[in-house]
Amino acid sequence: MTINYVGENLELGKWGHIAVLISFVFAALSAVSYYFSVEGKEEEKESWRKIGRYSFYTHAFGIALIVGILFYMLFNHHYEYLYVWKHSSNEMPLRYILSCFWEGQEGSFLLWTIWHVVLGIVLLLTAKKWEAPVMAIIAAVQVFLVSMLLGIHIPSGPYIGWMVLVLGAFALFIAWSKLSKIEKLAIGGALASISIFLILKDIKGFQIGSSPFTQLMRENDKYGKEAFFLNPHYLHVLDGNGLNPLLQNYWMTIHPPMLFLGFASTLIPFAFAIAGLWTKKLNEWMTPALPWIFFGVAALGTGILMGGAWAYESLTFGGFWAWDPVENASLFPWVTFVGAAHVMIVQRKKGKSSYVTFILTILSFILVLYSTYLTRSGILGDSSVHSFADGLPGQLLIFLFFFFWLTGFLLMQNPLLKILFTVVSLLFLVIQFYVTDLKEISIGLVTAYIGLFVFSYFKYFPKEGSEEDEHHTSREFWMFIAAIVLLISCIHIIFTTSMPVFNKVFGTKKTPNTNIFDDYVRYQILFASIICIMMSFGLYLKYKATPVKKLITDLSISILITSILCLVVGIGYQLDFENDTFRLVSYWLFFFAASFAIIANVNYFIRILKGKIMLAGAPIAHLGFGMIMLGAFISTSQSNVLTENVGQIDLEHESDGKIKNNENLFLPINDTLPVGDYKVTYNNIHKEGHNIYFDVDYFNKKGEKEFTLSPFMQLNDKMGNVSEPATKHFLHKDIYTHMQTFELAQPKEVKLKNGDSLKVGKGHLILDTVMVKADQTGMLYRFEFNYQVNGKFVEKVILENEKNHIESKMATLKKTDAKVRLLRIAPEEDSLVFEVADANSGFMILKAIEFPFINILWAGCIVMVIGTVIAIIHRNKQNKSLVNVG
Amino acid sequence: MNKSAIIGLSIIAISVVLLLFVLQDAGTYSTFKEAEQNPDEVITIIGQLNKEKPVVYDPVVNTDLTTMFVFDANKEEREVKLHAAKPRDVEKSENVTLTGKMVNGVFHAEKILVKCPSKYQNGKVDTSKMQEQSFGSK
Repeated sequence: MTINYVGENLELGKWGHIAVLISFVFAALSAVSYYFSVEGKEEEKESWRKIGRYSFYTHAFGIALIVGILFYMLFNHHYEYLYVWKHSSNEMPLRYILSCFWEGQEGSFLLWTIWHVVLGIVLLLTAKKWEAPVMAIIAAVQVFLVSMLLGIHIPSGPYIGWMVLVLGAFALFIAWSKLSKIEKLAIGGALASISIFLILKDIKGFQIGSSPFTQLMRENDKYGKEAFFLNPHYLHVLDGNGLNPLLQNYWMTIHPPMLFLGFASTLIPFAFAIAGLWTKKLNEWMTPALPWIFFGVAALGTGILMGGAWAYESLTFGGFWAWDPVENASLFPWVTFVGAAHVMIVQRKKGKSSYVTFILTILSFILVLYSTYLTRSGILGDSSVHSFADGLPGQLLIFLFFFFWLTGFLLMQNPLLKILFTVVSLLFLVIQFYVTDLKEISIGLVTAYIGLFVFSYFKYFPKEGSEEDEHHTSREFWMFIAAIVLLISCIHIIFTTSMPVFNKVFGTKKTPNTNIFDDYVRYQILFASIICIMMSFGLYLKYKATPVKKLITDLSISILITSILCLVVGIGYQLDFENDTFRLVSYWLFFFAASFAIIANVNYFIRILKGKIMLAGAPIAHLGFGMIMLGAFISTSQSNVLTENVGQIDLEHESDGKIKNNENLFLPINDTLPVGDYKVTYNNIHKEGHNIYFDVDYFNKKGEKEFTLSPFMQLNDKMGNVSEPATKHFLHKDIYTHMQTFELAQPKEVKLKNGDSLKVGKGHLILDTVMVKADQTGMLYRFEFNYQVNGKFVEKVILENEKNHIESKMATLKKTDAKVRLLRIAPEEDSLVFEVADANSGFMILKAIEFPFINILWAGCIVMVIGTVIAIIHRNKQNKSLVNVG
Repeated sequence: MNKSAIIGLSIIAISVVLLLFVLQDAGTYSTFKEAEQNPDEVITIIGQLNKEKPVVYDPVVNTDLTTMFVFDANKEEREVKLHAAKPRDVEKSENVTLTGKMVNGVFHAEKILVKCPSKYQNGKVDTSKMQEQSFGSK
């Protein structure tokens, strides 16, 4: 029986699939055409370039079509499509439809490709002679990304055979082409191994990508068989799952696009670096790449900090950075990118590139892929609060691996090494799928990789641009050292975050300590201190060499001010770390370093640059970074949990003092309790839309009301209720308030016998007198309660019934606003059942934290971005004048 | 040796040393039995909540104590005292990651990470509600 479903729009999905195919095929065509525009015959190059260009436009059109259709589906609630049903719902406010778009895996890959397309088109129009090689790389990346959206299932059997045949044909084509022998060998080897891989792996068939246009009912095994779908009108009654309530926040509508813009912007310098290696222009690629790298630093940095702002505003761990693996994953490309930017400034000035410039630039993009793998593969499941276990890990790994291989292949400047590198890579890939006990093999292969990179550098890489002959008082030397420190700091974060990956690769069972200080801060505070100190004197250094005496005179004022500041703060403020000297020393070192960075850069801007703002990109950006460090340091190290557990059981004692945790306050309704220097009361709840707000009033010592904070609970029956904090922002501190849990005042049933007492409000209700008269007409009774506070009589409460009614009338306690009545008599237990409604029995569990001077951090973010933008504008001008002169 | 060789090798050396530090600091995913044998060590356990027994959080008594029963990887069950307010949705969890120490046969956890089944990944279409609605509307 076929059912005629009403209201479905299946045309949309068809067009969507076509759009995905268009963008995939034309990305591939563009990549291939641009490739031949570089490698082909001289007279054909121009035509290849044109084909590449128009293919990329068509690819962009395909992406635009996908985006348009998906938005149309989301806006119009087309729940016949899995993605729409999963991520939106009827009540979704318009402003969150954007968030629905990228909540899922398909959408976020789409967001990423959109930025690549936008940046790609800008590049295509501006890159001139670099267009062909750079766009070939970008289009190739797009092929991989769009393949994530394909949603094609390749069944086992003959299809695999066909694919192998196609690969074989491609290999023949390559064999005939004009590539050098070594390139033919490498590509041939890769194709052969993919074929072998397919043949060995084909037993079950596999899925390429996951399409946002999959239908809920027909194309999804999990839900499709529900009896519900026998209803031809199912669309009329179906509502979507809706958006995760935590994501319904304005930061979440701007943080992902910004972050993905940052991720996407790492591709451009990467593409230039690869193009430089490929076309053997080892030095020229830096000039066009430099503005892009600064753009990327600003975009990615802003994206990461917006994530921090979101966490601070709406997550409940209390803070802007928790060293959660997912946060770290977004940080590593930024750190290497900043390193790359600094090395590149120097190298470009010299007109020579170095190995480190290549490594850092390329690494930034590879790390973007790696962090996508970390967050998207679900591998962090046991160590991160927000890992999005969704699965295209295999495809992502191949993506990552391909570009890693390509990079290494181009970096090795010797045919034999190229072959060796390819062999090691293939081995590495294959054993991941076929060998279970990996430890020794993996260690061996990783060592082989490092060996190959090191050897190829020393033996074959041109050294003119390297850092060997730099004087140790030159600016370039210290910028290089700074980049190396950044790299090492990044390696440390990667190691600690990647523990689950190591477990998989090396077969271990390690877990991070889960103590943030031991895992991260202990090391990172040292790296950050070194970076801050280098940032302080770095700009005072001159290229080539600096007279040491002049350097000391220039810096003396800054050193003096910083030292005085540290002394004053040091005397006024005691840091207490229970004999942890390392912690004490490193904290003070860090305070000194961050303050020094701020003061020295302000000084540089005012005294050396004389306030000329267009030249001041670097000191302003450095100032911003110093402020971020200082703000982060003060607000986290001095953050103070204001609420205190005043419960009766001392847990510290119970666990032999091994575990302390004493941060939640039991706050009854209408009660006033101290929280830090404030007194708080909670006496009102109000509902707006889906949110229940708990109004917490803060009073100062004089008893005047200062402000009200309303942490709230977002009601969501599909995904569970979510509570979100509220924060009062002052210039010098924030008061963060979080409602952990609550209970409303509800009438309770209690069983009492004569003489029993019951806690009500601040006192006790004692059942004093019981008088019962029964005859044929019914039963009459009279109960008397004494209400006592601290053993002193306060008032008398009397309950009586009417004839033929067991329940008594409600009696009210005048002093406490509690009500009591008899419900029934329970003769079998020889007791009476009363209902007591105490309006004051509701409560909430409150956590309040003070973050001092956190505004320094946010201000620092803005200052850093401004500095970076000035630097970009300045570099662009310089580039133009370079072109004019050259 | 030239400068870049020194720098290159020192990067590798520092990285290796860092890696060793990280590995040394790292704990291992462990079991209650091991936690009992090493009472002074902070131990991380991945386990499953025993859903037959109640998760008790009585803030009137103590705002920072949640008691529950958890099976470890060896299916051994222990009482767990979590020194914090009850985490959201812990009853619906498929896995919990606990960090803490064993004291007198009770695992005192400082931290908990609750792994919930993703709401729509493993869920089903909530048909009960929808059919109700459909009867209501027709």
